Amino acid sequence: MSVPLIEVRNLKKYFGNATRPVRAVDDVSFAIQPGETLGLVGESGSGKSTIGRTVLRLIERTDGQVLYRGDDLAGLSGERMRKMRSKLQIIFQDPYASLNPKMRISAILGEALSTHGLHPGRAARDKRIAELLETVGLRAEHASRFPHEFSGGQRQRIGVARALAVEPEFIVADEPLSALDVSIQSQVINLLADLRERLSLTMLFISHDLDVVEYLCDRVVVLYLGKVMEVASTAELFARPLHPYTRALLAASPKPDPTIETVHVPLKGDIPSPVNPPSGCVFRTRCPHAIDVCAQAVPALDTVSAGHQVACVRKELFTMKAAA
Amino acid sequence: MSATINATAPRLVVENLSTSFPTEDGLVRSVAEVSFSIAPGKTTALVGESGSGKSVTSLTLMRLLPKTANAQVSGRAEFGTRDGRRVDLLQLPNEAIRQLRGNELAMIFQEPMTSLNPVFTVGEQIAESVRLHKKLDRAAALAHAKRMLDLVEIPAAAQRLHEYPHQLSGGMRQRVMIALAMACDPTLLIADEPTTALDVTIQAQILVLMRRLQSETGMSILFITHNLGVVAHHADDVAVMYAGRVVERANVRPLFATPQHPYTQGLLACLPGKAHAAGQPRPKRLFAIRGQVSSPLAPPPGCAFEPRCDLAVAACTQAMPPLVAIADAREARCVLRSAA
Repeated sequence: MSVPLIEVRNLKKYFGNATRPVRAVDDVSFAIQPGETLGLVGESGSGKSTIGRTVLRLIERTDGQVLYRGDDLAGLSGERMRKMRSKLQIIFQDPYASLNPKMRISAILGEALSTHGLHPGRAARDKRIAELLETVGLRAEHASRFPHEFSGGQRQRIGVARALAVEPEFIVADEPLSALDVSIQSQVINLLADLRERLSLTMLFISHDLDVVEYLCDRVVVLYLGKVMEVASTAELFARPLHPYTRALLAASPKPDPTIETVHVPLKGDIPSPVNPPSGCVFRTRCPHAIDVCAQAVPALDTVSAGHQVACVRKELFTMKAAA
Repeated sequence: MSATINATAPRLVVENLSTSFPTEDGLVRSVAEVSFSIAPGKTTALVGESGSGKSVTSLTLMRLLPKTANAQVSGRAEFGTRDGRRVDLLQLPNEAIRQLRGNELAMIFQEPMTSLNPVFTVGEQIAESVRLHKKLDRAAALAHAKRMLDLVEIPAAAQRLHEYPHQLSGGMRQRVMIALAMACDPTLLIADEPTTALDVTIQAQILVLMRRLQSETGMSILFITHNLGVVAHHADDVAVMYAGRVVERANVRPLFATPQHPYTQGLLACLPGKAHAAGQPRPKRLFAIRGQVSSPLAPPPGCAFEPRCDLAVAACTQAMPPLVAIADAREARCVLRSAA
């Protein structure tokens, strides 16, 4: 196998004081191959956004490694990391909060270019800005406007243009669709899919919307309380979910079709506090299949078939069923 | 009026509801000519995107629009009360609507954190409505509040009663909101995006809870949401709104099976979850409705959806098409349907 573009090894991010830390991300590992889109799913508090930000060193990790083409990003000096950022970009969730309201679009996009010394000179810069706006389905004359003059969908396109301005190889898309209406959401999904193909982008796509993840991603990592529960190709995960949490998550997400009968018992209770996570398997307090051993040791992420890994001591429960 | 008529008559009939707000830039018609009804024990969903007028519809019905908004409201909203009267919610004097609100008519909001008072315990907040409407004393009202917390399956209710909203998780807060709404045993519950702020596993809990309470009490629900997955499984009837108007009305199954209005068709087609059947390869592109909603200050002259509609013809720019019946309990606002 080729060298992954991004590899995360035993990543940990604890917030707060050392005696009672908030274990937002606790020993997470995954790799993303060049050209691949990896989905990161989980509910609030599962650590998905923290992983996205830690990967890009927008916040510093507590422990573990993030390798870009085999090199650890943590070792880079401020100056070298800044240069590296032209390869690694992010699209934020809230298109209303992530654009400076006092800057024109030309300045928002131009700042990205000048920071990295790209397209110097006014004429070249303006040409590149016009090109970027057209790439994301806006018009060149939009450059002179302010963010408030755009709708949510258009703002998110500007957020995409800003990420693309520096010609990155890797983009973290942190819930880029959740602030958008359904009809606008599909426009932005198509835009991301087109750009990914045209510019051969590698993506870490963070979302709580399983339908969007199924549509856009090649592989999926399912997180719960800062830990990986299951990893599989998208087709495999949606056809044969093995972890009780993944199964519950899929069952809880209502399909837009009234003829599909949903007879499922929702998971009981809330996500526990990451300050005081349950011993052993973090999901056991809500798991309908939990037994005594689940409280004793953290289950290892075992490979059950090629590319399909599950962290559950009771995985036979469903691997048997799937085989039958 | 006898109770037997009341049992079959719709609990709420809304006819030609319009709500407009005067602004510096002109009159904004947020809701226009909206009509729908809700049968006893049934759920009607109002579906639409931001700015479609769903929430303004609910606030108008509850008479909760701020006075300072100077809303201009017209139309009728006939509600069947517990004692068999039929009253127009839009015409009732303030004192009479206050008797109904929080009592026979209840509402739950999207954001459980901002809709609970942070400086009162949840028990006090639930007790307030029964003290007001049922004239219970403080101790009896608190005992009732505890029963309500049990009803919405909050564990250790006796202890939770004395906690403040910030001590509860999002899902627990929404359960408290529901307990508050259910405290006086309402016959109509207006739920404005009640699960939008919640995670899917918590959303599933709340939806199951609402369904259980509905089957136990026979209350009607006006369910306001943008989530078509939730609509598919939790509504009996659906009204799809676009730019302040109902563009299509149907029972839930025919609506999803054969949507009639181009907007409804587009809305369903652009869902990634509908893009391919299980086991089929995903399509290269999702269907997308082009453009965006027009500004309410400068609506198009004809059909509001015409600038985004792939099927638009010349007639669409002439006048707003009427909502016409196309089959039993089905209506659509589209010239292509009225011609057929």
